[in-house]
Amino acid sequence: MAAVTLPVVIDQLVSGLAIGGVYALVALGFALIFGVLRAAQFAHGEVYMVVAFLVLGVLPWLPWSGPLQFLLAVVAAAVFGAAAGVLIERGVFRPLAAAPHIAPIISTIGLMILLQNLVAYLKGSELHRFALAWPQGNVALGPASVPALKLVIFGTALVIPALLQVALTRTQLGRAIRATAIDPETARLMGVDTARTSAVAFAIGSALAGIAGVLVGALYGVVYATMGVSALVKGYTATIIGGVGNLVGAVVGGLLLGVFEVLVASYVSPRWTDSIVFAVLIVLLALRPHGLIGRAIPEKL
Amino acid sequence: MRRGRIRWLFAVLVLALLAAGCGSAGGASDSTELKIAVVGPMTGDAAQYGQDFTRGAELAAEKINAAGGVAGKQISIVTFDDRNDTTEAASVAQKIATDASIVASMGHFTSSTVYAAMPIYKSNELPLVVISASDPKITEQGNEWVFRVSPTNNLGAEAMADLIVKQLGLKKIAVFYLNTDFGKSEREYFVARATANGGEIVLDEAYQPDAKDFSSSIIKLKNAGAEAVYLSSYYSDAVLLIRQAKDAGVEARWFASGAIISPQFPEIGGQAVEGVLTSRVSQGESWDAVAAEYRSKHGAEPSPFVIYAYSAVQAIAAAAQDAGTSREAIRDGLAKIKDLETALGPLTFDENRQAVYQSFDYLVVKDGQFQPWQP
Repeated sequence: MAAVTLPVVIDQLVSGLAIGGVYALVALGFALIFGVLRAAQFAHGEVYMVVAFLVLGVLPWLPWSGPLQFLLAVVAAAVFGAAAGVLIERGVFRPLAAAPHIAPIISTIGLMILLQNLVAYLKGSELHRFALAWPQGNVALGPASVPALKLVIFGTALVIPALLQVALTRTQLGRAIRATAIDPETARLMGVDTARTSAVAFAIGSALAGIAGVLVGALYGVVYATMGVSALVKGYTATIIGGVGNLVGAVVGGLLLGVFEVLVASYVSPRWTDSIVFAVLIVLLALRPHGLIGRAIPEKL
Repeated sequence: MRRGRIRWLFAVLVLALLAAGCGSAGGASDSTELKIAVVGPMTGDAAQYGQDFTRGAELAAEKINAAGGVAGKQISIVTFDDRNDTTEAASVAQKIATDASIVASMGHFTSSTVYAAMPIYKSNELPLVVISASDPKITEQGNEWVFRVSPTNNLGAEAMADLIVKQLGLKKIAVFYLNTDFGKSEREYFVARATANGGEIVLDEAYQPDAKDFSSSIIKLKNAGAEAVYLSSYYSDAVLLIRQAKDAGVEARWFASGAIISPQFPEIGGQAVEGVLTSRVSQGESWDAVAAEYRSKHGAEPSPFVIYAYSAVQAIAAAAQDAGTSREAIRDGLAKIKDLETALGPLTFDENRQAVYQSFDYLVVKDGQFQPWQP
């Protein structure tokens, strides 16, 4: 076990916040879709995976190096993710709008299996190298030296939810999304085009998953066909920690989960990480069924 | 409209089930065929290894069939998917073993899946040839239906411990191992030999098979003062660990189990894995010949698992040729194999039905390829 010194702890926290930031984006998208459609999108992790592969495919056409390439990769991920989200909303959710509530959930599970195996069939199940030219190397942070990439990922995972928060509270469309999440019937009576807001919420949620997929690809240096599975599990866990349907909670939950995982792996053992994380999750659900900050912010979105 | 759609979906479902049923059950027994089951992960995370098995076995079968087959029969390879899962391995083994048309089985990728399946082969009296799982204890169970053509992991692990401590004089060693039957058993042999040689294990860290984020382990490694790092890993874990460690500024020499040998290792690892050392059983001309055949057919470098699968088919064919084509005759024939010319070189099974290996070569990643290492 590493000695507990300040540089070591800073190093651990930055690692936790980087992966936690990825969880936060996945969780935020999941919560947004859940809030508006009242249904779990089990293929959310596959959106993350497919977008990571698509961006890997277009990387050779983004020859700019430095921060511009990183920015373009994130923008491309958002565009691909949004497109995937609209397709899924149109193809999987809308045709089943009148069906029993469980039907769209089941069909997203089907989509999850289909996409996973399709990508494994087309691209193989091995790891594919995913490298962005920027950011590279370490930067000094107080007494510690930490990978610049992790700081950038953490920063991205803070900026994007902040932008989303502004969009949801300050724009007409954002208010429509929130209204639909709180009460779709009333929103419709008030003249909100709920079908359109559902599609927009789906597009934004999936764009967030896509961005997370690219960030995790850069973080680990690889993408692979089954990467969506753990993203879904971790994103879902983060959503539960924060309180289902609660956007601020999803981000806080993701960051907490990331840091907690790294601390358990550091001071207990990496082989116990998942067991301990999920044991704590069960205790948490028993004690605080609405999540850690579920009650502090009762508003849905 | 809606009803029509549901009916259509139902029809697709039925067709899919039918197709799946046909794919795995196979046709009736055919006396002109010698049917060999190849089982491994054909889908999921480890599907590439199942593909290696299938390609190696089919390459050997084509070659043997073109030369007239075995005792008047043509070899036919049937693939089964155990998804690298112990429960699935046991049920697939049951399915294979109760199919009377199959006379031998080969595969199951990991030691864990072999352990789950081997009692089933024994109780149904079907020979199993292991082609990758490396825990030495597999062939020490007294199961007379289980053979292994691939090497046990103690040999490679001990060769690496000798290289690191004795030959290179690196004493402070960090060990990372996969928390599975394979990783734990290989680590045990490595640590025992390394400490016996006078080395000191400064970090001993297990990780889960699905681990992709090694940050916390790497922070420990950064602060452990290791001169050498040894990995009991597959290429996919090893490549991530090494890249993430180098990105974090770890400076140590890297060594790994022979299980990492795969064209993807240098391909994904790039500059970060240059200089990584590993070992594998010595390869002769016949290995190179099969590798060349594989390259011309599939346009890629074969992994060692291709060669083990190829050799297993050769061994089964030779056993059937000499002793007869029933399950029992093949088992007896395999047990008698001595100095059989295979892709691996001369193959001999010891009294535990384990292939005998004499010498190991050290390999280094250089210019994006595994190359023989010169001290």
